[in-house]
Amino acid sequence: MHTKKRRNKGFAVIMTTLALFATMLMAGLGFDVATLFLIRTKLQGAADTAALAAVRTLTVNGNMPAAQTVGTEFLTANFPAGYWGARTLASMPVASALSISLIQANGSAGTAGTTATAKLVTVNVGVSAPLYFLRILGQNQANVYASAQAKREGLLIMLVLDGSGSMGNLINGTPACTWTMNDAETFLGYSQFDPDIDRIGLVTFSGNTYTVAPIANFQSPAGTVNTSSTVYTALSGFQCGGNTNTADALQSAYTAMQTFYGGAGVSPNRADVVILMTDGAPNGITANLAPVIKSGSPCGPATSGGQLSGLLARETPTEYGILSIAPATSAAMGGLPLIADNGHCQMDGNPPNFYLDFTQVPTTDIWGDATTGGNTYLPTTSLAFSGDAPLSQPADEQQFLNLSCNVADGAATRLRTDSALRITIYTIAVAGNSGTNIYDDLDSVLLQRMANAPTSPIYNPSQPVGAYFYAQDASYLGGEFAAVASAISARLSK
Amino acid sequence: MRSPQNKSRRGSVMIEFVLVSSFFWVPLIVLMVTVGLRVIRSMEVIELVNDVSQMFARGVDFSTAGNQALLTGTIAQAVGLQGNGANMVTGGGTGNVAIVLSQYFYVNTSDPSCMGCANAGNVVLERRIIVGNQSLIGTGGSIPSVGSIPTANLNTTTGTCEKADNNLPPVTTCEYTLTTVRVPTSSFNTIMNNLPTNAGGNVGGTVFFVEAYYRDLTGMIYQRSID
Repeated sequence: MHTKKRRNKGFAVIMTTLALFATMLMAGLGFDVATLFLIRTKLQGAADTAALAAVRTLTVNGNMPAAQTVGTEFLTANFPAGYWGARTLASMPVASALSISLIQANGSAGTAGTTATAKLVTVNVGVSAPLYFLRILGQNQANVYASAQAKREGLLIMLVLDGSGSMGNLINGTPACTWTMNDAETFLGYSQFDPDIDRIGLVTFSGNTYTVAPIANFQSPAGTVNTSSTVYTALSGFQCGGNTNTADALQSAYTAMQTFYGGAGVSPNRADVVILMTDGAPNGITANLAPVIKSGSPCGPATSGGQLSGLLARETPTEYGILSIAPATSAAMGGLPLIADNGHCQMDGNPPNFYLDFTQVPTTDIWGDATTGGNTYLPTTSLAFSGDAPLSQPADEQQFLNLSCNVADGAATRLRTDSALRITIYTIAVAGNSGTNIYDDLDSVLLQRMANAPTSPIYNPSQPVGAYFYAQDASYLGGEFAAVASAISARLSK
Repeated sequence: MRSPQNKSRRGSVMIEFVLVSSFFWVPLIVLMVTVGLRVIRSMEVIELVNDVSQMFARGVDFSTAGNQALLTGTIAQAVGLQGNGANMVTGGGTGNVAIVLSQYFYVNTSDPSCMGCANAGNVVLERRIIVGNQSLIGTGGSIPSVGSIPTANLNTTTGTCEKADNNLPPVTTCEYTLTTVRVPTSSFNTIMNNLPTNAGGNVGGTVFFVEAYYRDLTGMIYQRSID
């Protein structure tokens, strides 16, 4: 018994020592692993912010070296040198951690101005993290890596500019039309837009529309307006006169975008944006009209003409009626001859008399947007024309302007909800067109609805959210164009 | 059969165990638990700052009750962030966490929307939202904070001021216009100093700065992210 006890002497010390060693080993392993996770988490956060910062810089300044510099600054700021003893790997210097490349929609390398649809920022960073307890196992350090990617998506922008007659109003001695032309030309040169990956097209409109297909060379070199581009040239010839067929203008922009992508339904590879600038409420629509040739002396038997596509619009502030239908041809009339004014028996080619040849405004315009009923924006009570009498009542005029607003609103909704493109609409209202006729006044609610701005009464966050901007007159338009560029840039960076 | 000597040794092992535990095992375990908890909390706070920072930079408005509820109920639930109550942007007075969200913006003199505004050429502290226990800000030893920018650095110029969010009408008081903005560390200063250049002569140059203060028994944990 005595001998056994003597043998047991010191056993506790040995056990304690062994337990201590095992405990320290486990604690050390836990501490070192936790440290590695800590460094990894911080490093990943730094890589993410670096990539985002670089993209944000690209959205305000397409210069790639500048974006690289900024990204590196953010990387360094969010993962300071020596964080928990970590050191940059010699094989992965911070200065070259960030790279920017041009890519196509499928992710392969792209060419500036042609196939490239985005700029891809890639961050690959690695550090050597010190180990404290595992050194007893001969492991002094472990490498920790993080990577992140962010993309500056290319833009497809359609500038839609109101060239109606009211844009001829003088602001500080200069027509609003000229202010618009100059500011839109300046807009082309903003460094938020990148000719490597962005495209800008143009639609000018009054009663009819004029479209310039989207182009890449709106800047050449980057940051400088290319005064030889088709868009710039068209802007230089921008003239104002006529009505405000906003719905048609939006449709023209929509068609140009679809054509750019190769047809309707084609998935876009850019962020699609429409910028609508207008100084008044819509007062024209394009519709299919079914003329009715009247019966009775001296007109003879009643005859129905063919379908006729054309513009319905208010003629002048003092004459309520239908402005024009184009093309007013014999062929379009199903072969019926166009004759001189014969007592309003049939189409006589004289625009002010056209109202005599139609019974009512159609329930949709030519693009299928409702003129009345359903969820249309403004109320319409009757679309019927009252016989041979001109639309001489202000109430009739209001009806017509309401339905013009309705189809513009419908067109904007159609663009925003297109399942392929999902277009974001920014609207700029230019005040100053008022006084001659209350119906010409800006409809700010309509423009907010069209943009799906958060202030819109029908704001729907599930649709692309645009913004509404207001210029108190055309001389302030430059600031609003800049604001739109800023908003687009901010949206891209998010 | 036990000898009187053995009887006298009864309990000595227990005493030794208590002594050894008191002076060695208990401190060791406490140390391990403390360090472990701190590392875990640090990771949670880093994750929190990263997440909030990126959300803030992507336009999430944490001044609204809904987004603050998202913050307290989901994103920062693990660290026990308490809501602000009625003080939507100035912070509450309870809990062990405070999050400070700051948005800086450089107003470029050539910005066409500035039109000679009073704060042209300055970096503007455009937005400051505090969520959680605002009394934690700047505490915990020498932890610095942009939450404690000296009042002297605030330019209270009255006039038309440019805002980063151009969709808003110009404000009439430049309450948060800073002629100099200096956040605590040199690398952050580099970013702030380079804001004008990074703005590229255009509207832009926005920096989002998120700080988190977390206090527990082990002390204060401070993390920040600039986005």
